[in-house]
Amino acid sequence: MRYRTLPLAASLIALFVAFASASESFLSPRNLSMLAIELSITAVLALGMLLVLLLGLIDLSAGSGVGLVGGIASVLVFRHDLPAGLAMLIGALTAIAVWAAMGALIVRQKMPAFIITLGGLLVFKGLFWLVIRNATVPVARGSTENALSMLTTYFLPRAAGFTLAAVAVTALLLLRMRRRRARVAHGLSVEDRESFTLQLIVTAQAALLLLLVLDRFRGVPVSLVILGVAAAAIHTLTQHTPFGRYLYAIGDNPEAARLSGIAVEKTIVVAFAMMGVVVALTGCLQTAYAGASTTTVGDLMELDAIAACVIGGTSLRGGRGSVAGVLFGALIMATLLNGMTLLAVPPELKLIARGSVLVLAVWLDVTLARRSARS
Amino acid sequence: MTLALRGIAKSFGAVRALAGVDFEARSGEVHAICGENGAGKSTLLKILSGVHAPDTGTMTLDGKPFAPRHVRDAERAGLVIVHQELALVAELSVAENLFLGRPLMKGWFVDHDAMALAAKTHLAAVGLDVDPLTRTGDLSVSAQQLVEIARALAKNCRVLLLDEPTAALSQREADALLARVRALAASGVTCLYVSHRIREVTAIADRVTVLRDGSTAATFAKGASEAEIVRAMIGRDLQAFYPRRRGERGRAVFVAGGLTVRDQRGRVRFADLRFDAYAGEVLGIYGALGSGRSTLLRAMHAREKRAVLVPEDRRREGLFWEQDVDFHLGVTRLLAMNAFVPFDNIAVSADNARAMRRLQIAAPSLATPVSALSGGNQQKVVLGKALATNPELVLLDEPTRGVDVGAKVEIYEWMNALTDAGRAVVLVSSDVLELVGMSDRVLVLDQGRVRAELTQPTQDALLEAAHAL
Repeated sequence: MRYRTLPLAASLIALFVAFASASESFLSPRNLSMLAIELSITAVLALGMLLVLLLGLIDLSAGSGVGLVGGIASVLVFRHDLPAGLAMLIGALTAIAVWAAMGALIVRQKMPAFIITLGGLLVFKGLFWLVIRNATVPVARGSTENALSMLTTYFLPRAAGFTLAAVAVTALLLLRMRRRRARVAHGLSVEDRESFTLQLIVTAQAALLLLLVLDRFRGVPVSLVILGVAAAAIHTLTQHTPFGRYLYAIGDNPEAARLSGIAVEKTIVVAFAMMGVVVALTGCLQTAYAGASTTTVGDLMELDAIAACVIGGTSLRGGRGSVAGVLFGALIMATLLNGMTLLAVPPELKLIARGSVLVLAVWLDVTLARRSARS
Repeated sequence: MTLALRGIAKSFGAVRALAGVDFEARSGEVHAICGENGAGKSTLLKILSGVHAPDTGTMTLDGKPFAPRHVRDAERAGLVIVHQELALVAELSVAENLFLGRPLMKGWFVDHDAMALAAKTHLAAVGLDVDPLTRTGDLSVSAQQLVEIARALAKNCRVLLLDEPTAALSQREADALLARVRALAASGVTCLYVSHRIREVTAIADRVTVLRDGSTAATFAKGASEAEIVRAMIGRDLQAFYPRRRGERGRAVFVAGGLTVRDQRGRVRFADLRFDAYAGEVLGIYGALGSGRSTLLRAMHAREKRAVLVPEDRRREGLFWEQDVDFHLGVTRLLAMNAFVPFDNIAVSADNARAMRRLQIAAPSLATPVSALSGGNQQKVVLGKALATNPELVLLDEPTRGVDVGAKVEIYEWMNALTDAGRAVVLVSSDVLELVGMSDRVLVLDQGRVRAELTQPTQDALLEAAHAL
């Protein structure tokens, strides 16, 4: 990350400055709140993609899956009058089963993940269109709200938002300080006190700034809370559980992992099932944000997720990547998309920009990896 | 052509690979270069072929400065290397391989007829009688070796460098190849011959240069004894170098009572194998390359739950290249835990820090990526990863390959410590001296069977058993 932090921070600031000077409303409380919601959606999917990329695999079907799960949930709610919670649960169970099946195909039949998920991209899109019958299916009837539609329209009440933020930041700071003390007690190396303290202060300040900005619109969006929970869960999973460490081992060197006694195939299937959970969650979030399930929901989202991961330092060859990096990469991608939409950039140019950023991110990754290998 | 090297030195970061190599190979001679693993042979080859530039020292060809900047440079000057791993494209014809990278053309198209015709002459020069249009992958390994040499000659090579050319050949094939090399030398080509097979070297070479720890240790004229050469390679008394302490032999940890072993393609490699591995004992396994010794170790690993395998190729099968020392020393201990419950990674790291000191892994910190370590320290990390689970049976496949002398001795001491603690150790090594030096008992494998069992292994007894095959 050392080599990446600076160029990444610079490009994020450059994006903010460029969009802010091109459009007055970019820094408006309303737009920044929208950006927070869009970031939540992009980042949740990217966090799932991280699990797959760490293994050295890829999931090209995620975007189609997002559309499909959102379609299933909307149809169940709008056409069949199911409660939104149950509809989402059915969508999620479907996604888990389908993704676990793709994982099983990859390990049992030894087919490349690239091909399986490329097939999935087309198949799921077709299924999606069948499910919604090529129509627009709203996430709620008339002007009512339900659990599905509220995913991106509900904001926490002021007091609840501030309390939650305070609890979350305090817990984070306490955890980090406790870990540092434990490392010192065991005689392990720690970063020096100044930079550690500085990090804590910057984190607390960033949280406060975010809170103040969000408060000027309607408060903390519930989708941001979902992102927080997802990020904490995936961070814990990847860094603090044996399963997470196996992801790194398998992605780095599957043969060595197998010889070390790691259950490579089981790990891959479980990771794909987890990707199914994430796809389902993103599907509900993205469809709710669009207000309705339409044929274009989820288009190209897998590429944004991959770009976010790679920008954040995840290696496409597997074995390297972190939640913090992915969040940063997702912020850059979400900002780029939000700003371009705000400036009414024509769709053809948006496509070109997204593609260029993806290629640029991979180029940056390769170059930086080479440079850090040399040092 | 005469190739002369003076004071060639090369370092990679803090690792000094070559410390001063001097030798001269004259026109028409077969000049062997010997050395233990890690003596600097491969670095020397890379410098000669222009892959690396030396830090200091000079090289000359017939008195003219020779400083290749890449492989083509070296080849233009007349020096061609035939590597141990064959660099032939199996799917292309023999003729196409001979002209790989510089095909004969007719206008915009490859001229297959002209190449086939020209190939005949080149193949005749190495005494290989095959149709130039044969698919190269269909040839035997020894024939492919000859194709490689023919390709070198087709590049108008005056200095031919052969790196372990007989490693994958049977005795008869090796003899035929050696005769061919002698004939080439007689025709005026300077032949450099890199090998660790001392027997072969004394038989074929006019002179032998021995490398040790990156420097020229000695150059012998024809007639030097094997013992002299070995002493120069090792540079110390054999007894002290292999500090095997025999202990009390315990119960059988692994019993092969009619074991059948299949390779990855499902072919039977060993049928009805019978042998035991005992606690407190180092069981050596000897077999030529391709005898299936690694396949056998893998099969033992798969059958025995309490076994760990230290694989031959640590980069491809042992290490997680992007990860740090901490990761390696901890990852196998996670296997005993619930995979989805967060573990106390600080406590695990603290244990790893102790293990790093105990194993004398020379790394700046636990957070050092293994890619930044020397070969010896990498091997210690691989061993540390394997031993962290406290196994009953330790399977070592070439555990000291590419490891410097100091680390070698440490690895031998671990083997002693393991057997002292009542573990069973199985050692596969292509280094005969190491095998007899460290094993209490040696099995000789050939063609899917245990051909001999040496209970008092000595170098002579082992070579005799191996050559009697």
